[in-house]
Formats: sequence, C-alpha cells, structure tokens
Amino acid sequence: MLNRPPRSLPDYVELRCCSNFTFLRGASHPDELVQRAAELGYRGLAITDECSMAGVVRAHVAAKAAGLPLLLGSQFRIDPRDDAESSITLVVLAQDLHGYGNLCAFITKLRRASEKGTYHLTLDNITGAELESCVVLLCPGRNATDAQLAAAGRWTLNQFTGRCWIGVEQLRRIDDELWLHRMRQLSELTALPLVAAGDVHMHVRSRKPLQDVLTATRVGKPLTECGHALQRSAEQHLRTRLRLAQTFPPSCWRKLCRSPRAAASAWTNCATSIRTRSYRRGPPRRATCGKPHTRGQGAGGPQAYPSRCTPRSSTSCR
Amino acid sequence: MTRPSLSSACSYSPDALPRHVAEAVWRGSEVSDAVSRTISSGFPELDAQLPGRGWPTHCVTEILMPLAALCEWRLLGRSVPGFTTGGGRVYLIAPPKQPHAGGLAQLGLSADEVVWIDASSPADRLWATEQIVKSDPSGAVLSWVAQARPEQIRRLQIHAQSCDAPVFLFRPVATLSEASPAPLRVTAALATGWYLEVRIPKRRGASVPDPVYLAAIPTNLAAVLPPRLQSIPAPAAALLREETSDARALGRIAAPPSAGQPVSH
Amino acid sequence: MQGHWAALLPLPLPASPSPIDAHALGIWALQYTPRVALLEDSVVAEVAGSARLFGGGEQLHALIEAGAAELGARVAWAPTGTAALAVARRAKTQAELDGFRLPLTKILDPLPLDAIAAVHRHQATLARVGCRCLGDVRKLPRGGLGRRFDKELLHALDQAYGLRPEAYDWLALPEAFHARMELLSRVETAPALLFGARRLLLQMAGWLAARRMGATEFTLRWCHDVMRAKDAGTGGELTVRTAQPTQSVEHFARLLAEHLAKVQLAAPAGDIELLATEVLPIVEESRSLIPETIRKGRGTDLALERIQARLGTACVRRPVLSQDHRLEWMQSWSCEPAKRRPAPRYELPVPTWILDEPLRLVERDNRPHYQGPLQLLLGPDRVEGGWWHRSSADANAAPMNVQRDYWLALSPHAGVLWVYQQRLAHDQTAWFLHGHFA
Repeated sequence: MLNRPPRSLPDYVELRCCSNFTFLRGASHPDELVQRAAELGYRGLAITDECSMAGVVRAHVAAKAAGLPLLLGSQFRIDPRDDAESSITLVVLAQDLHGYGNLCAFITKLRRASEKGTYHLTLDNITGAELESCVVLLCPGRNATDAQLAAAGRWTLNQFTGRCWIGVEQLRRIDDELWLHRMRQLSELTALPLVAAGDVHMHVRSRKPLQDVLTATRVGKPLTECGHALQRSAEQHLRTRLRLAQTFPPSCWRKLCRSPRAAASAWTNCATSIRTRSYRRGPPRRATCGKPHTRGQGAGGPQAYPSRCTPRSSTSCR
Repeated sequence: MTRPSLSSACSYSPDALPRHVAEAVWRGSEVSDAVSRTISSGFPELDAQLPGRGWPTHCVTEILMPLAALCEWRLLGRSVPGFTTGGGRVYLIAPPKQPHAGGLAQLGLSADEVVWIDASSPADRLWATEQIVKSDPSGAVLSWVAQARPEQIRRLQIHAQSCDAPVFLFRPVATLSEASPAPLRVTAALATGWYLEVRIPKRRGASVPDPVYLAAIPTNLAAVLPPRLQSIPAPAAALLREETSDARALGRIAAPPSAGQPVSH
Repeated sequence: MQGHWAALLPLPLPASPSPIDAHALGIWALQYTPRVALLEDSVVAEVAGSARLFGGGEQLHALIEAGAAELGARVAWAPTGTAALAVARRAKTQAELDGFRLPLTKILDPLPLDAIAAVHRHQATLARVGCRCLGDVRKLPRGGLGRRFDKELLHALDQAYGLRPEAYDWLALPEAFHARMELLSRVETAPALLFGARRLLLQMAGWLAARRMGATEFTLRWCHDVMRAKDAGTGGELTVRTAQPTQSVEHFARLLAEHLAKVQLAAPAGDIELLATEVLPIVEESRSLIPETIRKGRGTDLALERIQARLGTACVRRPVLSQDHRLEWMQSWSCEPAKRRPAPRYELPVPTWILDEPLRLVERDNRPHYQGPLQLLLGPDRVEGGWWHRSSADANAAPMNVQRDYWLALSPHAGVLWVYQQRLAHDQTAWFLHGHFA
C-alpha cells in the first residue's frame, strides 16, 4: 500500500458509495473507488449504486487486485406517501449469496415496474421478507421532522429487525452537529445503532468539477443556472481516516465503527464466496438487472454486467 | 355606618370612565395605552414595558445601539410578520452595511417586500426618510440617521404623526444624552450569551428602572443550533484569566493590543 | 335649445402672463366634455352631460374655473354658446360671468353690439338705425333684418337667445400630445423653466385625462435664444420617466423640479415645448364604499420616484435572489420595481448583513479577532464551487472559485458574526469576516 496509516487511527469501512454506474450522479469508476479506498487503508468498501448492481464486476476485479474486502449493495430513494413520512434513502447490503440474489431480484422487480431508467419506491413496496440475508442502513433526509424520523426508524426496525443501522453523514455542514444529535436521539428511541456513512460520489475531491457537470447534465441546465442542484462542497469523497476521525466526534467514533468492523470481516468471507461461486456458475437467472441499462449512457456500458460474464473471463476474475 | 376606608375612596378603575375621559386622565405611575395601533415586538417581556404593548405607530421610535449592524434584526425580527401584513414593505434607508435579502427572507421578508434606499450624505438620508414617512407607507420604515440634530428629528416626528407604519430611527448610543422629541427611546446592547440588554430611557409613562433581558437568538439560526449552544457558556473568560496569570508569571505587562497590529474595525 | 355652455376666452391673466393658444385650450377642455368647439378664437364647451360625472354642476364649475385660471383664460357660463362668449367678452366683474343669474334675455340685452361677432360686423349700420345694444337689435323686425343684412346676423342672434340650435364642428382629440409655449422673458436657470412648464404639464394632464391614459415618459425641450454663444447649440431636452402611468400634475411637477435642479442651461432659453413620449392606458381605481380599501402603496411609489430623481436612479434598490451556495452571489440588486419572482429557499442559515468585500481579520494566538477575540460557536461549514463562474467573457477572465470553511462566531462587542477561513498559498490560512447575524 502506498501510505500505511498509523495504527492509532480507527478502522473504517465505507458503506454508502455510488460509482459512475449511478448515471449522472457518481463521478468515479468503481475501480478508482476501490483503489483509493485501499490506499487510504479502509477495512472495506461497499459499492452501492442507486437501484443497480452494475458496478460490481469492475469493483470486484479491482478489489481482488488490491486485496480489499468488497461489499455489494444498492441504495434506494424512498418517496413519502403522505405528510407523516419524509424522503429517505435505504442502503441495502448483501450478506451472502442468497442476499445478493434477493437484492438483484428486488432491483429487477422495481425496474420492470417503471419506465426505463427510473424506479419508484414507497414504504409499501418493500418488505424485510423479500430482502432476506441483507442488512440495511437507514439514511434519512435532513429536512425530516422528528415525527417523520421516528416513523421511519420504527418501520425499519419492524421490517429488518436485527440487521439494520442508522447511517449518519457528517458532510462539513453547519447543521452537522445538530443532525448527529438528532440521530443519537433517534437511535435511543428505536434502539437502532448508529454507523458512519459518507454518501460518497467520487473517489477524490478533485473530481468535483466533473460531478458538477454530471449534475448539470442531469437537470438539463447550464452550470451557471444549476444553483442548489450542485453539491455545496466536495466533501462527498473517500476521506482519509484522519479526516474522518476529526469529523466524526471522538465520543462516538468507536461506537460508530465497531459494527462495520465486525461486519466487514464477516462480509469478507461472503464476498469471497460470492466471487468463487457465482462466477463459476454464472449468475442466477433472476439477475437480469442488465436489461434496462442497455441504453448505455455515460461510462460503463453494457459490457460491465455479470450476465455477460463468460466462463473464460470468470476464470480470469478468479 | 362604617366609614369608607381611605383606600377605597381614592381608588378608581380607569375602565369605569368613558373612553374620552379615560384618555384625557393620566396618572403619573401608569404606562399610557397608546391611542394608535401597536405592533407586538415578539418578546413578551419587552411588550410588557412598551406603551400599548408593542412598537408604536404614528410616531418615531429611536433605537440606540453602541455599534451599527449589531442587533437590529435580532430585536425587530420577530415583529416582521406584523410589518408585512396587508402587503406592506420594509424600507431600509442608509443601512450601515449591505443587507442580505437571503437572510431577510429567512426572517419572513420576501424579496419584493424589501426596498433599500442608499443615501450617502446625512441631509439626503433625512430627506429620503421624510419623503417616505410623508407618503404614509404600509409596512415599516427603518432609517439609520447617525448624524441628526434634534430639530430634524422633530420634523420627522411631526410627519410621522400621519404615518400609519412604525418608523424606527437607529442612532448611536452616544446621543442618549441629547434631548430628543421621539416619544419612545430604546437602547439595545449585547449581554452574555444570546441575550440582549434592552433599556427604555424614555417612554410615555413612568420610566423603567431595570433593563429587560431578551433571549434573542437570530431567528434563522434557531434551526441549526445543537443543544449545547441553546445557551452560550461565558466566552473567553478562561482566556482572560490565562493572560493575566501569564503576565504575572513573566513579570511584565501584556502589550496593548493595538501596538503594531493592523486595525480591523 | 338650452344647454349649459362655458366659454373660455384666452386672456393674459396675472397668474399666467403669456396667452394660451385657443386650440390648446380646447384640447385641455376635452377632458371635461367631448363637445368642445372653437368659436372666433375662443373655446366653447357644452357641459350639461358631464356635470354628474364630476360631482355636480358646482364642482364642475370650480374645476373648470381653476384650470382656466392657471392656463390663462376667462370663463363665462350661459345657456347657449354664443351667449356665453358674449358674456365672457363683455363682463366687467366676476359676478357678471355667470350667465345663469338672470333670464337669458336680461343678460344679453344690455350687452353692446360687439359682444357677438356677427352683429359687430354691421355695427355701423345698426348704430345709424339707433341700436346700441343687443336688446335693440332683437326688437327690430325679423323680416327686415333678414332682408337687409346677411342671414348670419339673424342666425347668431337666434342662437344666442336660444331660439336656434347651435351646431359646431367638435374638436377632435389628437393622438399625440405636443405643446409649445413662448416664455415671456428669457430664462437663465433651469429651475425657472418650471413656471412655464407647469402650464404645459396642466395641458398634458388634461389631454391624458381625455384619452384615459397615463404618461410614463415625457420630454421637455427648450430652445435657446437667438442671441447666444456659438457653441451653445440650439437647445436642450430632458426626459422624465415614471414607473406607473399617472395623470397627476403634482407628481409630474415634482419629478420635473428634481430633474431640472440638476440641469445647467448652456444659454438663456426662450421657448419650451412638452411632448408625451410614452403613454399607457391607465387603470381606474373603482371607488369603494368602504374607505379603507384605498390602496396605500401608490403614494410611496411616487415618493420613491422622487427620491430616485434627486439622488439618482441607482439609489433605490430591490433585491433579486438567486440559487447559489456562495453567499455573495445569492443576491443582486436592481433598480426596477419588484416583479414577482419565485423565491429560492435556502436550507442553511444566511446572515442578514453582508460585507461588500470580506474583511481580513487579525489573528492572535491562532484565533481571529474582531472587536475582541472571537469565540467560534459552530462550524465548519464548507462551501466550494464557482469554478464555472467567470468574471467576464474574456479568454483570460478569472474563475470565481471559492473554497471556504464558514464558522459562526461570537464577538464580545460586535455580536454574532459569520466568518470564514480560507487557505492561501504556502499552506497559510486567513480568516475573513463576511457577514453579521444581526
């Protein structure tokens, strides 16, 4: 590794990270993300593109080369049905092959039910039963009221008992401290443990201009008119562990990271099993998640999907 | 037959008198109810001390502060809904710094309810204030007239008698010693933490001996303050103690802060 | 046919020294009634139909007389037009101008022969017959009058006494307003032009009222005297604009006064003319039975225009908010009246005062100072962006990129501040004050 971090820095696994397979949102290739995470000394990385598993192959190749445990998952934006709910993001991570299959099936179901390139998800279309062997991170939006937060927390607890966390981002905003306080209160109310997440969109801070251009393309306006659609700062990148230690307050640092550290080691085994088993056999027939993306916009075209992985390339993957 | 006690013979209730008589009678200890409408200041402790329980209209109100751009909106921000009901606008005449409409929008003043009139010379400021006041606007007039003589304030007061909007004149606290024809004079200064110390040296009625402390957190900050900042701990007292002990230990007096340092006002 | 006629005779009156043109007077009178005609270089107007609109006959009388006094005309009233003109010509006192105080025959009979022009033409002959006043002419036998003199005499007499209907060519309202006036004496300073211009403004207000329009722009032009310096030019002009279409003479006069105060005349001016360059239909405010519904904003808008006229258009500013993460680009100021724009919502707190340029703060003991040491309460708040924003369209324009960590700070003497820390070259950082939460 390029820079060996000092032993006193806490271990970290990034659990919420999207690559450029989340079209017009992520600004880095999965392999760039994996390499950077390895450089920074992360204990693991989760690639969680939005309602898609398209980035996993490249990420897997890079992770094997770098020796970094890779977690596979996806994140979903859940729309509110009424005023009692707010917009939340749910990050779903597969624990084993069975979970991976369930997640792929879920994604396929969502994509098929909507127009090409979009998906629509509310709290009544998702249950814990169809996402077995997956863990979830509840990442609420910052404009939620306390009642809405409590409702979301309770729902998560009911559906995913024993395998759910609350993801807390600290993005160097002035309301970070208050947000952390509210998340602590939510955690006490619902007994869901807190975990640090980064909501990563790029691997290094210098990718921000590209990410701005992607945003402008997505909203269809010139850069000068995008206004608040652009991200406020370049904080949503893979940060150094030193920076993370400074950002997340020390009093809850250990508590935040204990769970993913333990989980990461468990998942390393799962990831290995996924690697060895699925690419030997070919992916399960249900995983036709490549289908809606044949438009192939942006980086990472159709060739990146597991369904196209021939036996010969899978040997080289191994 | 019992003799009526002295207290009952002397006491009367002002409500028992017909209104026109009650207005004409004034007891020295009571705070007069204003005849014109008032706008609540948003602070119950301050409302209790203001005649008519709010900022008066049809006259000028002087607000004296040690420094301009110190706490104007912290003091007046809560009355903004009262200014803008019925399509009123807030007129800012010669403010000390550039107002930021984004911050004002977070207080409840939308961009088309704000008018900034910039005038550089004191005469122009007074003239512009007079023109706005004479036109009987709806909303509120806030004017920073640092150099104004008492007779100019009297002129504004006379024009304000026909003006239904509250007129606030911000002046430096050094003018407290001058006589002023404004019927209400309020001084505002910073106190510890989020508090503002407000005194009312002049009002219609008995004078207020004690200052009023208002918990004036800027309205738009309230939504992002974590619990530890809801009341600010005493600042820098620790720092001062360190400095003096340091001076004693080293046996010399600490250098005056302005020596050789570029002054940033 | 009896109506209610007013005759306006242009005369130099003390209030307005130079006489007004009858045509211009007629156009002014068109705001009160459409039945206005020119008669022998005077104006006659039939106002019976308008009395109710203007609040009754008395009010209408007062309005017309006041306006005519300012413009320089004498007003007389009578049941017929010719009679009104006759009265206007020959009345010696104010009271005699009212032709309704006595029956028409009693008013007209004592008037001398030159009161009616058609009669005046034959004055010599009639005098030999022994007629000294109109009453005598009336007593002459009609048949003989008709044979002896032209039929105009009889017609005029009949019209005057109300025995014959009067038919005139009514004056048409011109499409554009343009009026000239020669000043009685040469004017050296611009504010003195206002006295003459006021009369022209009154005419313009009358024309606007007749057309149901308001002016948003008018131009005053003045011509220099012939005896002037070679380089002074032939004259000058001044354009005055107002935001809302208005008909008010007072407002025009005030605005014009403010503008004229800033103008220097290159040479003495002798003629002025006024054009209404931009007019728009005016929306009448319907009267309400409830007095409080009178909108208050109108007077203040006019006051703002006066302030702009005196202190400069850029002095009255209204904010325009835009979506941007950088504090200094969130707002801009415009001098136009406010338009309804959708307001952007700012999620995070924004200070209420902003410095025009961020002020670099002194640092001592690794702590910024401003009126005392600053206590940093909350932060950091990272704002980065603006690399796409160029300062100008040139090729070597600098991008307005920012990378700042904002902090909420408390100063013991200056209140709640919004400061930021910025990285400079060589790993140095600097603290700046950007705004106040005050």
